[in-house]
Amino acid sequence: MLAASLGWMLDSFDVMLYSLVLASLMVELHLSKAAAGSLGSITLLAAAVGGLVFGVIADRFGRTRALMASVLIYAVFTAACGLAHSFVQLAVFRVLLGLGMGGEWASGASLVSETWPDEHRGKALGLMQSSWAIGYALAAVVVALVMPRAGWRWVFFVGVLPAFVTLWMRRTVEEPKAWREAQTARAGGGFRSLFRGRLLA
Amino acid sequence: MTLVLTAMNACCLFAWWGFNLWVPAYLALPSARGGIGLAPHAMTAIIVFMQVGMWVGYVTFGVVSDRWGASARMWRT
Repeated sequence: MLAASLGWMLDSFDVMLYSLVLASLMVELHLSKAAAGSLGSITLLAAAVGGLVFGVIADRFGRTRALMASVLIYAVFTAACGLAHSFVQLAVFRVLLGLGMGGEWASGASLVSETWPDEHRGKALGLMQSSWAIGYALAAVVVALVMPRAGWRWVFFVGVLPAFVTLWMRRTVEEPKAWREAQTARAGGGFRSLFRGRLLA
Repeated sequence: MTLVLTAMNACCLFAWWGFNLWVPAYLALPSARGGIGLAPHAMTAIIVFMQVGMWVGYVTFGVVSDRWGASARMWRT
């Protein structure tokens, strides 16, 4: 629960940094409102793709591993946004960030759904999603502190901090029991199992 | 049912992202560029205040969902 909430919170933190520095970004990179809006749109389209891709990864390699990979991706490419000098560079970094963002939604939700009982699932998911608001508020505070002193690029560089959360996840967060059992069942069944043991009796 | 809920979520997210992508820029941009030209600290204060409301909404409707069902939560939202 804590891992998924942190993932959700830091996802919001990184993604909303863009909206919060948009006014300065538009001036420095000479972006029109249409161009700035389209950067937001392509991030979300990439998030849709990321959700699908990381859904498959979460089923195959585990919810925790998918969560860690997605957090790492959006943290690294948020920092990369601080290096952008043109619309195209920023667009590439936003697309890659979007893949991680969508992946975090898919893997975080499945991690919480599988670790909480049915009767408390609504509360658990509500609590996890509430960290989105905390991340957004935290991003606003960081922008207020960092941008007047160091500019918008450093705001994005601060966005790499969530990457360190993956170190903690790797050490402490286990895969849910439901996923482990599904993996065991898959390993024991499947096409190859037809040819195990005595074939002729 | 799945298609209806997908369409409902798509409309909801369209509004959410459209609003939240532009609110900070609208608050921070000078009036000559279509904003209201608030100082960064004032913009931050408004965003944080909005997020307090959002946090309460998330947590409250999670409890509503467990108590009265997900469809009840949807209609109240």
